[in-house]
Amino acid sequence: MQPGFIVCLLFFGLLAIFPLIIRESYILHVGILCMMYSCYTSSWNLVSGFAGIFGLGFQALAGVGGYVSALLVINRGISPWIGIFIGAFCSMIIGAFFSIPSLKMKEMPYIAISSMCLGEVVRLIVANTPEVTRGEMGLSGMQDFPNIGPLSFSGGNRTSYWYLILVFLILYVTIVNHIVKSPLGRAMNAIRDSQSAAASLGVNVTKTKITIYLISSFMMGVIGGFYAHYMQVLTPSSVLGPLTMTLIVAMVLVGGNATIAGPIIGAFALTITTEFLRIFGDYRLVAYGVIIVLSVIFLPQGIWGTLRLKILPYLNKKSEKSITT
Amino acid sequence: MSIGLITNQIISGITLGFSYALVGAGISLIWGTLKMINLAHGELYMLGAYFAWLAITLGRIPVIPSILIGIVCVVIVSLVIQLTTVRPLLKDTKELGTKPYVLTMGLSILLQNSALLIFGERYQNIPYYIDKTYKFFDGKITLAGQRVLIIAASFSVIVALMVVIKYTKIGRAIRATAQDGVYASVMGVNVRLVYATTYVISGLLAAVAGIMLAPIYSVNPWMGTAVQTKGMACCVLGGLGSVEGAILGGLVIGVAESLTVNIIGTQWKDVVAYLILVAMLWLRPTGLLGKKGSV
Repeated sequence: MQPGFIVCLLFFGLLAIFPLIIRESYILHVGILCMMYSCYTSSWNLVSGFAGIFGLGFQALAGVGGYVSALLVINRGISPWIGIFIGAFCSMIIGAFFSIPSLKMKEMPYIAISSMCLGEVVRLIVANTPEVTRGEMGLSGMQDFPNIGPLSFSGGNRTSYWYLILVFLILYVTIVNHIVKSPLGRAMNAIRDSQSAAASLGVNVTKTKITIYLISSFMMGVIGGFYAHYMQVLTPSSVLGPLTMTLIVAMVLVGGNATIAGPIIGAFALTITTEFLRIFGDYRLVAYGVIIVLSVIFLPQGIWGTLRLKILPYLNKKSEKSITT
Repeated sequence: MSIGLITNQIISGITLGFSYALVGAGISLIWGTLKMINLAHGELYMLGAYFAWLAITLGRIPVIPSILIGIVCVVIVSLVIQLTTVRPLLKDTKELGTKPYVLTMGLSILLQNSALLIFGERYQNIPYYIDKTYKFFDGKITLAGQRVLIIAASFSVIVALMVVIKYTKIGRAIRATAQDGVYASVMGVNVRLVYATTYVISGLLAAVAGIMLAPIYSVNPWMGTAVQTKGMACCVLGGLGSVEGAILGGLVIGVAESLTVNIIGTQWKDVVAYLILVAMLWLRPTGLLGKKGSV
């Protein structure tokens, strides 16, 4: 077995027994947020890290999933289990539009800025149609997920939500791992390194880009639906505002771009840091800004990238030495 | 809708467009030489407005020296930012990628919340610099002095910028660095000096925009974010890296926004502005004035 696989098993095993040991609701909530952001970052990393397309505005894709699912559950009485997948399907359709800027443009700021503007368009449309979405007053009154066996989701039971999001996270890591090793993943890598070279070697650039956007936006949409039913309230500024995207980008970069573990490490590190910074009171966000700036300057490869580059070779050398001596 | 109303809307659109262009020109300039998007640009705009507000209301200094104080303070702030954060990052120019994006995003969070802590969350107001209204055609067309001032100031600053870039030594160095940083340094251009100068000039542009617009929009810690997004949209629409493009993009978006306010409604103006950008880029991916093959 590979060492990476063992670490992965240990990590998920730890997460699985965590709620059995610690039952404090606040800590479980932070953990759920960590895993939720890990899912977001893993989905976005498919586009930004592995395919090298710096598309922004992905918070809108998650938000669309959440809003569609919540509206269907509230107005049509559909089970949330079906709702989140219909929502994710809608995110996928919107995701197709979001892939448009990346199809014709190659340089980073053009893609980044135009997709950021698309994200703003989605937020403004939701905020400007209060008769459907209740705008900034907030959409609430979604049903809880129906129970599965012993897991009851009523009243925002943290343990059940913990296991639900853990299942999603494991699923997402598996999916990302599969995609990266599949022909699609190789095509994505080729596009990241050089589009013209990839095209000349027979990679269908347009098709690859659209496919990866569709997969990523579906994944965002599912977690957006999860968020809607977990948090029980949606407002355009909190769900669709650019701050969520800012967090996702910071997490991926702090953790380590274009790796599977990096975005998850970044999501856990920054979410937990944000909670710890609460002791600074009003200075919390100032400290947060300082941490991001310092980590970009001193950990240019991200936490995981630096670990991999600096520490792992050292460990390997050591173990080699111990074998030879 | 009367012709007078439409003319008034177009004039206010042009005012808006010039201020967007001023913000966009700074973003465009930084992209041209440093090849990075500066997400802290809006915060320099916000700081400019705050420094001018401090000088005018608390320092009781006359308007023109206050404006100069605001500009000088922002120039110092941007120099400090460049030396402490951007310069260390530029050491390995090959692997720049998305790092500057996150770095300046962190800076933006830092500056915005520092301003919130120092100046508080109250919206502050600066009196109009020119408190006159000009009327034409029996009052059908009105022109506020403040708007004339915005157009005049933006126009002269942008023209000055273009003259500096075209005809001075440092301007030539900036253009050479924009074409190819490594090559320029081989030819004896002090690239680090050029990077610092570009950042400071861009900070100056942001400060002028912030100070000029402060009397119209109130001064608050979040004022930079919205303007920055618009400024970025304008310079991408016009073609990144060209100052003329930022002006054209700013005018298109500014006029479109003002007309939308009258035709569809205020809350849809940003939607229209962003959709114009996305549609335009779909048709012409290099922006209106961008060179073919530069994208």
